[in-house]
Amino acid sequence: MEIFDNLLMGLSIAITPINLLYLLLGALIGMTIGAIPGFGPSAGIAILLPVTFNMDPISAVVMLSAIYYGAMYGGTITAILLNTPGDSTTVASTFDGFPLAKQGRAGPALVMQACASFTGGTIGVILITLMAPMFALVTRSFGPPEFFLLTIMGILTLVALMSGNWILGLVSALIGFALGTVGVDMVTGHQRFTFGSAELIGGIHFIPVAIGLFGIGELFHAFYSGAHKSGTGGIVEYKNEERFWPTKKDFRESKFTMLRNSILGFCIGLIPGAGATVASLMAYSLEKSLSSTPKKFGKGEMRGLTAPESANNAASSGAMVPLLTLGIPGSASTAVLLAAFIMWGLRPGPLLMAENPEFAWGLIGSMYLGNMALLMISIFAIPIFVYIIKAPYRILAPVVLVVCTMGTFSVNASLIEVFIMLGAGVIGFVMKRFGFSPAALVLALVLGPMAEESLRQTLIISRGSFDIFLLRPASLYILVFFVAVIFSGVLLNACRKKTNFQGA
Amino acid sequence: MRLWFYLCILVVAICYTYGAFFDLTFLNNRGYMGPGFFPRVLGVTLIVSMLLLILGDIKKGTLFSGPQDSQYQDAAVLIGLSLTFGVVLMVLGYVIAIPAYLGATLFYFNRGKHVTNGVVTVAVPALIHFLFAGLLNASLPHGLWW
Repeated sequence: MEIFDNLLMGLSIAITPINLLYLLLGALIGMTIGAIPGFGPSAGIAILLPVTFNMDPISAVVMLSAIYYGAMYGGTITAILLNTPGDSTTVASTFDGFPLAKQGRAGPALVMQACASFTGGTIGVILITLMAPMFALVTRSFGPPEFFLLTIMGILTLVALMSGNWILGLVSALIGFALGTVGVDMVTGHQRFTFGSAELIGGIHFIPVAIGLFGIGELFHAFYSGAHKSGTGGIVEYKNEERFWPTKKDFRESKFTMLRNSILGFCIGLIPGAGATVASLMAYSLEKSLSSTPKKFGKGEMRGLTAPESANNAASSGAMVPLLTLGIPGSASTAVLLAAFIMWGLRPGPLLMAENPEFAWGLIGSMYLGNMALLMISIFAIPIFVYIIKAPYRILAPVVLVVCTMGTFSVNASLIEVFIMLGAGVIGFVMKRFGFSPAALVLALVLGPMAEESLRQTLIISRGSFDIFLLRPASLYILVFFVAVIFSGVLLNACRKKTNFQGA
Repeated sequence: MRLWFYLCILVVAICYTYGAFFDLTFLNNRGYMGPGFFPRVLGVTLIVSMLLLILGDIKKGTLFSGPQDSQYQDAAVLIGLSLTFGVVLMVLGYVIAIPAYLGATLFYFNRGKHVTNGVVTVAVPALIHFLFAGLLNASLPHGLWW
């Protein structure tokens, strides 16, 4: 009962007029920032952090958290309408979100993503309330071997996503891995492929590459295919838009998808470093493997959109658990939130909930209200976002390119990143033209360095022995889970082939 | 076009692998994986994969097939204008580069719609300035000459 008393206290703190105002303001700003290509939640929180210097700590953290999950909602809007993920967490949402919009189902796709985000966010917050202390105890024992296994699971998920010519997918992923090796080697401090450039010492950042490959590459490809010559938007055929609201079938098909992937997303979000990107990919892969019609995925399947959306929003809630109870940020965005906590003199850790219950439970309470506010804002704002697809593509394209360029520049104030984005745009266009996979490249760029670093740390700990993966209980459990997932996938495929063969 | 793209990737992969073998060590001085371990494995795998891809396309006869050059014209113009925009942005800053880029692109692709083009060329830079510099307090490229 203590949990419910604390939650009621948190809700009473969050529901004060001033905190509600900051909550709504943060949610709106977050959605707007998330909808701008290049501005993920981490960049949004970082840029707005100075604005909160003079605010009360509880109000400030309520506003920054609202920006955080508002940006998670907003990032999918551009992923669906422009095939431009605002952050790595929404890459998986482009796989089916953009094809749905192309089929004239942009409105239903946007409403369903808002519902999936709401389900994921709300289930995530309920799970935080109920299970935070227990999960924090488990993940406290995770080290490099467990991180390595989790990233390998992410990479294998990536391979599972490749369809058609697997060599094209493999080459795309290898290019992503190779780009991920640029910069200072974190173990030895040795510079790799920097060619003496100070800007490359920190490595090639994900944001300009993703914006270039997905957003700019798509613009160039649309001009190649002649989409700019039509009278209306070439990205999405607006004349095909039949209805704004999703059908009953969409809700019926997606209800269990949203529930199971919210729980999966929350569990992945709890693991520091794994975050919403791995969660959304795993959710997509899980949903595809469970589906009786996996071939529809990637061609505009609603479950292919709702699965990663519910998972990434639940993961963003899950990432708050290690932050609040251990002081360990689970993602880039929570790392910026940690900086904000420290700035206000609060030290997240095991004692935070005991010493500052108003703060911790006020934050959790605001997350419940924030999710409800965001669902309403999302649905009412969707017609405005859908309206942009009415604009002729030859006008929209240069405007999108300018916004992408300014967004990319403002993250690190780097012109090199602007040129990386433009270069990635040209490469993305050619890759798309010849059947390569820009998604595989981007995801390998994110997961590759994590895998390399954690494997090297693991082998240093074990003095070069791979037995460590079997000797540590946590890594053994992950390994068993991993093998079980692969084995069940193989079995499912075999059963499906047998059924098809008998059916034929 | 396809052949040139494959050759480009292959040449970059060879250069990458050369760098991994000659500039980076496979193991560090304590006998663990060095900075060159992953790049060497990646480089060799990339070269082998590209050779397999090229051989496969030669067998299928798809390596030399592709669209006519005229199909690339509009995309090439947009790419050219966009790369020029990047250079102008670096030298003259966003105040000049954004209207110049929008004006040039709309002049070429949206011919005859002078009022629409004029409104977009003026309104979009103003909105971007308000959003990024005013509302978000984000940094914008001011150029080398200012």
